[in-house]
Amino acid sequence: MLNYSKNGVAIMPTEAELARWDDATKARFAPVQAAFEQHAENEAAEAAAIDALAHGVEKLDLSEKILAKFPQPTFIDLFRRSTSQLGKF
Amino acid sequence: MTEEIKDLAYGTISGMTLAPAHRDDPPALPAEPPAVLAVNFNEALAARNAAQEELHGLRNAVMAATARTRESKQRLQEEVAKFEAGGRRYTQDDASRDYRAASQAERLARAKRYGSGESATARAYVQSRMENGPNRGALNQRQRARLGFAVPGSPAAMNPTNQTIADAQARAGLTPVGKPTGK
Repeated sequence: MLNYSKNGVAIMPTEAELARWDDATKARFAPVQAAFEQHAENEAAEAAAIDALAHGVEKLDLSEKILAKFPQPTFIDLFRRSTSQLGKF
Repeated sequence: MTEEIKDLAYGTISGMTLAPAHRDDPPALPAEPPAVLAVNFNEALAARNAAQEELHGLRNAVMAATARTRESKQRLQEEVAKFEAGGRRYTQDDASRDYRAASQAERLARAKRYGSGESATARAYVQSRMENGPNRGALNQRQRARLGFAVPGSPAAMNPTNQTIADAQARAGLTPVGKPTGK
């Protein structure tokens, strides 16, 4: 049978434990092993996605700092820019 | 200003450059290209908006990955339960039993965290909602009595602190009713 961690998640049997099992038990364990591997893969992908999110947050922070360095166009600037186009029509 | 922006992007300090190890060596270059470089307000704005969009996509990716992890964890739990059922077939009854055990564990965990129906926390919450919330009065008197609240007509409602009128007056510094004042 499987061991369980403190939070109730089943723990993979060790190599020594696997060696003691008979073929029928090993065959029954194959889908569990596949589910274990799939879950480990998904957990790794989730961790990578979270890392990428942290990187994205840093990038946004940097781009906001750079944006703050530039003088923002005032309302008067925008008004002048829009009225300067009026002569063309 | 350009220097300041480069400093931000490269994480450097203006005016400070790495000295070459040898005079013939080329000067050191930053390890990776800067993430954001802009030369005017519009470019900086576009870069900021792009970063926001990217972050939105990354958030969605994390949510999707979390959902996949949850599914695979559930699948793993099912497979483990099947394995632990031994050589016999994993029946609908087994699945039902496992589901009930899991939901009971979840209920217990939630009760431990938020206070179960038996707890004073939950009772106080219900009481405050029933007395002040939009659904006030939703409990009938029988339910109120069963939950331990005072109901009209009960001794507890009539005299919640179980004190006499004279006690209350004495505590408030008033002359007890019917007692001679001594004048």
